[in-house]
Amino acid sequence: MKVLNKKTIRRLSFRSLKASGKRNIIAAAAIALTTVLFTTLFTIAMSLNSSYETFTFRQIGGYAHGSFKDVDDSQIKEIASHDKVKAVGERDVIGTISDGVFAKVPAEISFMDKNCSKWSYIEMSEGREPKERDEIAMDTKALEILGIKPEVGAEVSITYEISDKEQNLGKRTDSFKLSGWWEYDDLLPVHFINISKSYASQVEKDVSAEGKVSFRKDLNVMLSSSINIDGNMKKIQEDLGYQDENAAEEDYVRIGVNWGYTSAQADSNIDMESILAILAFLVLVVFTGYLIIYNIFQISVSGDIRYYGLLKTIGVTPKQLRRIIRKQALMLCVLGCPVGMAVGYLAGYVLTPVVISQTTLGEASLTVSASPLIFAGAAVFSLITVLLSCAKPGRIASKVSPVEATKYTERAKTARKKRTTRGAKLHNMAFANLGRNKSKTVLVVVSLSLSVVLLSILMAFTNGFSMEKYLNEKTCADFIVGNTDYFRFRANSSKSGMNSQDIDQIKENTEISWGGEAWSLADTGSVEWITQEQFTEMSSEQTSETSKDRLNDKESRGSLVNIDIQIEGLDTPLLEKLTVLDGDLTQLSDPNKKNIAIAVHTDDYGNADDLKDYPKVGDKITVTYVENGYYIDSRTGKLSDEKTPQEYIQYHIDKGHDVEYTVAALVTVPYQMSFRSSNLYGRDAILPVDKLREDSGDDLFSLFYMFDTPDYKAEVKAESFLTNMTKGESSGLMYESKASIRDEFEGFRKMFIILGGVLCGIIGLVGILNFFNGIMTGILSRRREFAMLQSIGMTGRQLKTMLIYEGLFYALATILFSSVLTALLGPLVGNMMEKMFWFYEYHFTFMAITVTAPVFLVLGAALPVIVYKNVSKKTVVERLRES
Amino acid sequence: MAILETENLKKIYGNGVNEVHALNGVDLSVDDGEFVAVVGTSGSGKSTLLNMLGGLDRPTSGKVIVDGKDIFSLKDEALTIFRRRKIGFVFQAYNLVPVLNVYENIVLPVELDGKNVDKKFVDSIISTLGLEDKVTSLPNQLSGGQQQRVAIARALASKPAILLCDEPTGNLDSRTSQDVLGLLKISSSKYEQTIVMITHNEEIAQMADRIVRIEDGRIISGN
Repeated sequence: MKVLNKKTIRRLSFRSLKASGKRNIIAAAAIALTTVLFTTLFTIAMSLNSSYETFTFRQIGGYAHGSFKDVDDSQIKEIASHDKVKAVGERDVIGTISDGVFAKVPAEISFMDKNCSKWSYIEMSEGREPKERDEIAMDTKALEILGIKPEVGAEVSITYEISDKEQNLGKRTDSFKLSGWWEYDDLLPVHFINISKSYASQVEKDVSAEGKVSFRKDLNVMLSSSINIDGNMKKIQEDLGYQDENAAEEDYVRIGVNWGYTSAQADSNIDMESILAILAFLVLVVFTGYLIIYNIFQISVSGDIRYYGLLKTIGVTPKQLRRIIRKQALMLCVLGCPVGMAVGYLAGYVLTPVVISQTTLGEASLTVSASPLIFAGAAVFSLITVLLSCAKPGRIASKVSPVEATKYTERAKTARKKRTTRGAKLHNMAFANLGRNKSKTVLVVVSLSLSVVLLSILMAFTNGFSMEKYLNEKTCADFIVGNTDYFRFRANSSKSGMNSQDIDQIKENTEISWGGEAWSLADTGSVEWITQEQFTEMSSEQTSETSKDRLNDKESRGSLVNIDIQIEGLDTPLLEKLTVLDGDLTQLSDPNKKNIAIAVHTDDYGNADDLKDYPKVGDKITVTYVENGYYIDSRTGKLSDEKTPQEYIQYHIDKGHDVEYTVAALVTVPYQMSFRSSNLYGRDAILPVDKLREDSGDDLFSLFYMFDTPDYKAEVKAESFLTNMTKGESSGLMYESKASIRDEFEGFRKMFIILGGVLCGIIGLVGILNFFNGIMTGILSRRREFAMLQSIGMTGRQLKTMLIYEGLFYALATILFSSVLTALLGPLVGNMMEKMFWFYEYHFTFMAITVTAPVFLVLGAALPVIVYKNVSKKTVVERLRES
Repeated sequence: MAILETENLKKIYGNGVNEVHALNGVDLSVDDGEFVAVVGTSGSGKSTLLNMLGGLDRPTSGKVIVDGKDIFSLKDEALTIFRRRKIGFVFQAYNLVPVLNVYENIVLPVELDGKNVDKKFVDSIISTLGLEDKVTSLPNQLSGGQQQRVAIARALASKPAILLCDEPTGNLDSRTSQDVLGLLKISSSKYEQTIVMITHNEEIAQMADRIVRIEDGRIISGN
């Protein structure tokens, strides 16, 4: 019984839809545009996620779901035939090289089967995997540093450490023939050097002849899905009766889970901010889509109100009417959504690389996701938007009184109007026409204006990134040159120092107007003694539990505990880059006093922390320079080992000497010349370099050399010199310059301009579509009225002029209204963004309006003419007869 | 027995200076199977009365009782359903759904009710009204008289107890008017229906069992 009813409703919806030709195209286009926005957003978001996964996998060295470690041949068979396992790949590691040319990135010598090498991102670019005993394959980089020409059959001789489990089996040198190579992936933490299975067994045989245990075999596995890898791996381990507690037993098999999957699944890469940004964008899109789709349905419902009233007199219930309208909207979705998805995915495909290049992931890990989730998500959100948009028009249609509807013409609500004697001037008529249905006019103008305002805000957003602010904050000298370790936050021993020859070379080859070095303690540590209360206060942001745990780690001296203090020694010129908050820096170099400057932390805006957590000027602090220190088990006092529970590990100072300093100043240190990383429970301090050397009695190493050049020419010259100097893997040096930071900034801004541009373009299109729809329906729904006007003597030209006036009034009203809105909202949003981005500077702009105004005016004048031409194809009599 | 009754029915449009008393206390009673014509000049309130009788518009005060039920005690949704089961409408402007063909128009109220179409019954209406050749035509392919016959067929299709006709012949020439009205009378007696018809045409009104005259929102004779 219900089925029949449904069919009737569907027929009614479909036929009504078919009857309203052009309007459908606009509505479907609006739905398509909305879907484009959603699909693009989801494509980019999902691609970021999958690129992050790829990035992690490559850092880990492969994308197998997990591995069973230390298996033998029979266990391999058992695991491979377990029904949770989809595929297996075997790897036998026989040795490593971690010295000589492989000191920086070590090499692992192993046999990999086909699956395993595929999962380790090995794709032969030339030749093939080693098969014969004397064959070898490796990546291009390894060949290069070994000094071997990439030629199949080239002679390769390597010396490596035979290694298995923890046994040291000595070195072995062998000669091989190169069977192939692949491109090096600089994200991999290791060079893979692959040898044949037969070579691996040969080595194993030789070694076991000396009475050593067999080699380690690992079996990488792919499970049927990447969900719950850990659980499934454990299940397999259990099913097959393996254990990972007693290494001496036969059935000892450890499992390893690729944490690339788990971390990606835990969404650790997506922080609150990006979630909020995505949500805000979703809401914006829903809103934009709502504006136009709602508008179209609203106008079409009021145009068809008689028709709906008629349906009501026949006995269509309000609920059925709402269903008819909803059905129409959904039918339009069937047209619009697929088109939108296709275009949106393409846009996402093009834009993803732009976004990725701005992240730390790097273009190499770019993976554009094709997950069905993208399309499902876009479809769901488009549907939500459409359903939201047609809810109110549906309600209006369902509420209409059948009697009124059958008489319905758009009526002015005003009861009595003052009669004017202006007469029937065309522009007055046009103006009066807009006033006939105020709510419709307001709706068109408001929705148009909103898209202009959105455009305006987006433009202000992309134009407001202030290069000056960014440079001021991000640079404190033209150039900073240092060891790569310094820029990678790992400068913690003299190995990370810059040697003086390099600095001399720089000085020789560049014109320097100002410069100096910063130094760090080479081999000693340094700690400061503070009271337990001070410690608790310092860590007040942590829970009291963790801070108590931390306190336990500390060796105490009476009531005092020690915290790390990083002391940076500065050449005298560099002292002038510090900002003094309190005290006096000149006191620092007084040879007769022990004075020190304490560095106060700052946020992104350069605002200093609250000073209450810091010592005051004039306070005395005791610093111990630790010459020998190590971690002990606090229960026994002996050196800690792997078995020592975390809570008993304690840092013990074996030998050191104290220096008592007076705090001479509290300063902030520009990030670029600081250590760039600091200990959560620690302090940073500044001393002149000579003092630091003298007080510590230790060698110092140079963290970086920073300098300014006198003019632009010298800057360019220095830039090209440094580029050359730091080129190549072997140099170990890196530099930052104003120019490189400018590039970084430009890249960042470019991303926003491209993304914003696409969004602006679509929103602008929505606005124009809306305008088009407003004008068109305005004319089409008054066809009869125009015919009547013409029948009583209005010429076609006069009618056209009147319509052009109407269009222009719409355009002018929109321009005015959006100007007012922009003027009101602009500064508000600008203010908000200045708070959100420290390098943002709001500039008030009417750009969006000056850009869109001509478009609206032209459209306002041209559209009515075009639409009218269409209408006037029929004779006046024909039009009069139409009901 | 009265199938249709009104009690002190009032309808006021507008307010203040603009207040118009379209109906000013109408008490009307129509018996089962009766054919009543309501006559009055334009602006006398006859259309308003018909709209109230059919539950298309709500009165300012008073009651309309159809088949023993006070129809304005029903909510919109329920009222629509009650109406499409009990009352058929025929309008001066035909009010056919332009996108549906003749047959679809006729069975629409039945289908909307989720009922199975009584094909035999519908076919008999179609042949009674002489629409056999036109079932697949769209409304705009029909003449005025044909369109009005479709409207009558539609009103009859759901076997309503009451047929309300608002100037059914207003758009037709006198010859066609006579034909349509004849058909209306025949089918109503054939399917045992009560008819309330509005007209300003005395000649047409004469064909009814009873004539009710209305003026300034009041019944002045015929009740």
